[in-house]
Amino acid sequence: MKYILRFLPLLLLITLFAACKKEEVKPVENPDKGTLLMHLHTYIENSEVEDYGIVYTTNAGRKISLDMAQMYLSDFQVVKANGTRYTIPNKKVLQDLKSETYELGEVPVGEYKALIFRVGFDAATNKLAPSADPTLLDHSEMWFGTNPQPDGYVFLHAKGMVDPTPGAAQMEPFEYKIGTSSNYIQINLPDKDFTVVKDQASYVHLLADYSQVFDGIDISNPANRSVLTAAENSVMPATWITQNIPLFFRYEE
Amino acid sequence: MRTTILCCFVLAILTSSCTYDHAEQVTCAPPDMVSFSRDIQPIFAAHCTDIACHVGTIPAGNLNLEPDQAYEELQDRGSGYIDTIQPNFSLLYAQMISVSQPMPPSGNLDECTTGLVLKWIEQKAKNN
Repeated sequence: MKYILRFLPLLLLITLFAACKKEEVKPVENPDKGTLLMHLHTYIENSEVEDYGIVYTTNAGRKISLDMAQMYLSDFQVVKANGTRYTIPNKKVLQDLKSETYELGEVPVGEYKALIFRVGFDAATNKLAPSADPTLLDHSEMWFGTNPQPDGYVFLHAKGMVDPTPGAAQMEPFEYKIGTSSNYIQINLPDKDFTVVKDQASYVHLLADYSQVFDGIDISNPANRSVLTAAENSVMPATWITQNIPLFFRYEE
Repeated sequence: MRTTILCCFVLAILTSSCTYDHAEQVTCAPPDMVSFSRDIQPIFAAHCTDIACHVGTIPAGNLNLEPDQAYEELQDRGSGYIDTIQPNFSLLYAQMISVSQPMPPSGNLDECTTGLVLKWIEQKAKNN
């Protein structure tokens, strides 16, 4: 009996430890993915464009209305806090007034500091026939002529009415078709943190301010209110408009 | 006797070190059919319009969630606020559970509330 009592503490200890249930070990975060979407509004300066044909007035007193406001966006990448980039494979979208939500695709979960993309198409995509991807490419308003080739696609199509000088009574038509490989523009927005969570939809909120198309351009000159051909894309005002395109984009506050 | 005391001592220490670490689970009891006017609009009233954000002629995000406008604005085609095909992609719901940009900005609402919104969308987001 004494012998048993001597070993009783040890016996108890073993029994109690054996009864302990190991805490459930959570799996280490693996490269799971979440869905990234872009919510993109069309704006004239500080006003959201509700529909085509509505006249909006900027703070400088310039009146602008839009009849067409579309862009091809591609080469989407997300930038992690440490600077590494993840390219969302093969994603291209046609931004238009009626659609604000664009599903960009699945990206690894984590903290990101930036979304970067391009306006326009890479050379290979720009050579495709519309039949290669009708949903994306078969939009005649995004062609320079009756067929997208050989000139390639229009990357930005902005069309509407504008007063040639701010406050002028008479509004005049304008139309800009910006494209060609030299106008394939990278958009680098300032850093703004966002998080992608496993199996969740995460949005990046942006707006595209089409009033910026006129920035620095003398549109009292009728010649500066029109860019319609691929040939016109290598000279003013197209080259200037191309420089303005990055100014279109800002985060929605 | 000494051995018995030792046993009790060891037992007391080991027992006191045990903890119950399973968090109490919140039980949600959403209605079978979620009603926009009864269940969803009050959420907007409590968290979205009361702090003068999604109200008036220039609402935050150009989205007015006041009772007379909320449903129509949420259903605006192309806006993405409601996606009945992929309910969890709905901007309304995604923003409510967002980690980096939660709506309301003060922080995520409880899971019962966000779950109610998701269920309403899953039930085709009716104006009921």
